[in-house]
Amino acid sequence: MEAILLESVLAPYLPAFLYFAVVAATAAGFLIASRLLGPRRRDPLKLSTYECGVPLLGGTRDRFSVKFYLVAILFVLFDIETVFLIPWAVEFRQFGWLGILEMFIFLGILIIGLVYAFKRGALKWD
Amino acid sequence: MTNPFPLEEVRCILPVLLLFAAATAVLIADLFLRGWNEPASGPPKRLLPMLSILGAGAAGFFLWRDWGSAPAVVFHGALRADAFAHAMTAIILLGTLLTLVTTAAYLRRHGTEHGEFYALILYAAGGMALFAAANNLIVLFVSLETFSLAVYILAGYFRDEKRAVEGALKYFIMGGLASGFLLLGLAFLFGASGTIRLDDLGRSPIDQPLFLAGLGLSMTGFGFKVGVFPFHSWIPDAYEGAPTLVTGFMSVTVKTAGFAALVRFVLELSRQAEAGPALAQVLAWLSAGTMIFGNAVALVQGSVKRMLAYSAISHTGYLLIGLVAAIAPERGGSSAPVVFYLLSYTLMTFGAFAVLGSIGQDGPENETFEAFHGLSQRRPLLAFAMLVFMISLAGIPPTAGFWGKLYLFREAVYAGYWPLALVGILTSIVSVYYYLRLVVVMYMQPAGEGASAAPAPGWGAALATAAAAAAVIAIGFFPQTLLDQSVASIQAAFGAR
Repeated sequence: MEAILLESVLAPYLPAFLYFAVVAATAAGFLIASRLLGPRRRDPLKLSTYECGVPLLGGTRDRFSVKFYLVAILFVLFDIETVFLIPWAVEFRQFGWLGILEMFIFLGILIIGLVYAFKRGALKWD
Repeated sequence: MTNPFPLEEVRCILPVLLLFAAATAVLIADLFLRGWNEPASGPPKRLLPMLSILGAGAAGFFLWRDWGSAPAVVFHGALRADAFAHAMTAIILLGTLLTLVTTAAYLRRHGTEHGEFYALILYAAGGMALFAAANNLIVLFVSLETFSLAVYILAGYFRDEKRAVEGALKYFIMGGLASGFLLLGLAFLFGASGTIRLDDLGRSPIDQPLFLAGLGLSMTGFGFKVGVFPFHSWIPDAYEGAPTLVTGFMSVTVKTAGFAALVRFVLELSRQAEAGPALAQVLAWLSAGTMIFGNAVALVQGSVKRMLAYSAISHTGYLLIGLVAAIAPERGGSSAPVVFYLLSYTLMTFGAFAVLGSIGQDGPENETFEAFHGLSQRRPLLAFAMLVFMISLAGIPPTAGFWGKLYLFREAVYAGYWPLALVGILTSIVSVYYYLRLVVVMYMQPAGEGASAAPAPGWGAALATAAAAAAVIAIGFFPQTLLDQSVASIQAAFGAR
């Protein structure tokens, strides 16, 4: 009973499990192989943090202004707006006037948010 | 092609829309009044609570206009506007109005009156009203998050106080975890049945193991939100840290909204023959555990606020009895007592927190039992109101709390769950100790040396407290009308159950 139950539920996922196993084996294989076969020559430049090829500017634990957080939050909000606007723009002819009205209600709500952020000084840097 | 946006159905969610609109209006009004509201109690600041009360009142009016209309499934099955949703929205609006009326003077006294407070209360209320009517797993989750986020912020409203921040953070993290559980559970339920509509979930063919897993996960999520025993750990800290009146708001409206969705969810899903009996069994154990734990721990609290927090947990246990009785496998009772109890609970619990908020400034020193010593001499009316709320919470006649418990226990016995009713009665007897302890110190202890003079609560708070106390006694003498309404709302929405 148990075995049948397990089989019926999990059987369709067998390829996925196999895939996981292959991925894990490949990753582990590469790591082990490079550890065993690769030559190791340490020098200060090689041991420093890799930053896209340019020389290091400073540590990663630098403090940066909390204001970036607010900017990031606002960015996410208005970014989502575009996510909704693009599919609407592609299909808006089919939606007719009701569709335009709805989108303007949506934009209106967003504009209220923008006015709020603006008046509260969220866009001021100092 | 079906109409993508059925305009005529908008009237069913008019109360929700009005609440959201009022919240936004308050936010915007606050922005433009900011310049000239220096005299803190001058006209512009007064405008904000007025505006929010007006919004909630208008929502109540449109709710009343739709009262008793036939159940309607609207927006392609996303919402179900039925008598049960109306009743629950009415209770949520009652809690919201009590909060709005009470808080203006309270916030001013603490020097923290900001327009955002009223806006957040209204956003939360709108989300809750939507949650109570949700008939679709996605709407269920989105509305849950809408009101949860607003309440997280409100819990940490006194952001300069360490315990407020700590409580709010704990609430936020635990709440986020609970939402995760709920979301995964809802996804499993969809996977097991192929539908996201609640009213179809109980009837479509299901994949049983997946369905049960989804049910378990989503019940865990709901359990967190309403504060069922093993998932209650956030309640005492969050309730203690939040401003006292926000604690009142949280404990009544969040619980009402949680139970609104829980009742709908459980009644619909227990139609599945494989899931119903298991669900009843699990809920019965959770109910017994919650009643025993909440009452036992409330006994040893030194702070009235924490005592009320544990009392809120124990009342969740009593409410679960009604749910168990409704889905009992052999002879199902009715979940109508849950509706009745939620209304009484809203009145008496918010009343108790309103009195606590009127004793003195927020802070641990004004929340001890000592702060209540000799209150009957200092503030006789306030002490009398607290007496009414305490005996109602303990379930002593002639109060609303007595009838609420009686109906719940009667339903449990009828459905064959007499051990649950027995646990309920025994734990109620235990609860008499800690509720009446407060009454004893108010009436029989002289006021201490350092007792604060208890500031004037403001006319709004006085009015709300008096109205709640009067309603608790009035329901105590005439419970029948309300019970008939509860039964009617459940019957109109769910059939016989």
